[in-house]
Amino acid sequence: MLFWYTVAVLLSLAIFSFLWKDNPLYKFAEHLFVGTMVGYTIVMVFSQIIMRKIVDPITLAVHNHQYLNLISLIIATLIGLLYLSRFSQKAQWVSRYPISITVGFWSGYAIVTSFKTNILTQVRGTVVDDMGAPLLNGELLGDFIKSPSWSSLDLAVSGPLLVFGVIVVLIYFFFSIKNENPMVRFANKPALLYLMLGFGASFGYTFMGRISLFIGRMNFIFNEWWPLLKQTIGG
Amino acid sequence: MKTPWYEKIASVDKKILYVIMFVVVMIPLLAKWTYNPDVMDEVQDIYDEVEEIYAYNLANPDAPMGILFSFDYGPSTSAELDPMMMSVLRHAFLRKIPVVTWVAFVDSIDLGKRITNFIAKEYGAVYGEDFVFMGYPYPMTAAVVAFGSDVRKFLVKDFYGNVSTDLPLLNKIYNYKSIGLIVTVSGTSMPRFWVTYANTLYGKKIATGTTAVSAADFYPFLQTKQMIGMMGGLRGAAEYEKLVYELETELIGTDTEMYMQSVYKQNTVQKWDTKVFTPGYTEEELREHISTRMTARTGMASQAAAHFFVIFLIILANLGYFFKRRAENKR
Repeated sequence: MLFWYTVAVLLSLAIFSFLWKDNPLYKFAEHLFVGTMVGYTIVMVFSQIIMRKIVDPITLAVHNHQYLNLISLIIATLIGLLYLSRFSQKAQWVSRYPISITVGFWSGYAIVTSFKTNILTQVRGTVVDDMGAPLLNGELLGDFIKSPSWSSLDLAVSGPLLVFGVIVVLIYFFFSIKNENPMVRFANKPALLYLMLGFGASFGYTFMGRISLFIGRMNFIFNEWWPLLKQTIGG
Repeated sequence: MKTPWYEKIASVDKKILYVIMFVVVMIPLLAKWTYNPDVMDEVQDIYDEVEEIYAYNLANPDAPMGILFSFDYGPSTSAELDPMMMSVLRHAFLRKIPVVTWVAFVDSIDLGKRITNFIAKEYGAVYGEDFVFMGYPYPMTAAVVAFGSDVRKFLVKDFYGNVSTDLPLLNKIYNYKSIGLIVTVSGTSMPRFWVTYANTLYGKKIATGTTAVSAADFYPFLQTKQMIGMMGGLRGAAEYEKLVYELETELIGTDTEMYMQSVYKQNTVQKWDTKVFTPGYTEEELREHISTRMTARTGMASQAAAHFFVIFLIILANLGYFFKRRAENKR
């Protein structure tokens, strides 16, 4: 266990050495990673795709006398094998059949679902909340004025801020060429503010993500490998 | 002529900054400081949903609901995402909720297998009865659609080569009707994929764990309830970790080590498949199981220190820029 942990530590340090400058240790670790990954992928593709998706179902269908199932599996496998015709310049046109079947099938699945997921539901979410109440709700503003508190303020302004933000950012992007229309000119400044807030949040999250990866490696070295080393050396 | 301070900070070698950042990150890590985060609504919602499934299973022991866990990330983001996957898995196993796991990428296969078995072992879960690992269900879209009818026809065998219809768990949980929640932990855009197919087509509830880099992209789906909750980055992981730690303390007490050892002392019947995990623990294994219960909260202490350091650098650099501009204008 200690041996492999030590190998992992040395490889991590070799990769981090790039922060100083490009060097042979870094190059070695990088090439080792690429080679190992390719080897691993080949083995896993064979055991998890070719065996699990072709050999096992066909064997089970034969074993259980499910001949109709067997025929459909064989036909599907043969159609899949047509992809390999791309290796031949003469016969590569045959590969268009499996490609057209795949594209046609998945387009049918994806077009409606993607449209509903990314456009219809998102547009609805900009107009009403999940309970069906409008986001531009004057009653909530009235509630805040009657009994001011942080939570009632949050409820009153979050909906209008969201709607306003979506509209000004859309105007900003649709009319990003020089435009003297007063509405477009009015939208520019708040749209930039919204965008900067969005980019700032993304930057903060990105920084957090990168530091997390570094912390993960340091945690492995000092809280997993080091105690194991101490224990092994100390007997 | 003496170089002004703002000129000096503008020419600091970046290697010095790396060294300072290293020290800043290491101090909380070595001192084992932990961070006690306030739990945000989007994390609490996932926890509550798992508790609802637990309550449903208590009321319906013959037709329990399970949770489908999708390892949609690879080793490159495991430092950030392992803690959240481990925490939600612990929650499910603590509540004896049936667990089905699989992975979305080839390079995640060993990672998915290792983490599933690692957590199942802590609670003495039995393979095939309490949890199953389905491996890499390629192609993923077909697998997600197949779960709408009968996933056993698409995945005729599990990762270990057991016939799916022979596994008792998969005879109860084989389509979305018996899946109460889908947990996708991802460093990519996979949560959007789950929303597109499992939520839009089948109305399934989606809980997401994501890297901090991607978190901002998924807030629109939270607002529309296309996702029921989200753990964003190490902070999200720390929040869920805290909730599960509190639940675990309530259910099994503070001595987790003794609890884990007792699981394999009480049971003399050999019901665990050694292909999946070996019952019992070595000293190193115990240490690892204990330390992973606070990985995110320890990491967040270092994270907070690093953030303060960067905020300090941003302020310092802006001040330098301001003074430099002022000096240039005077000239």
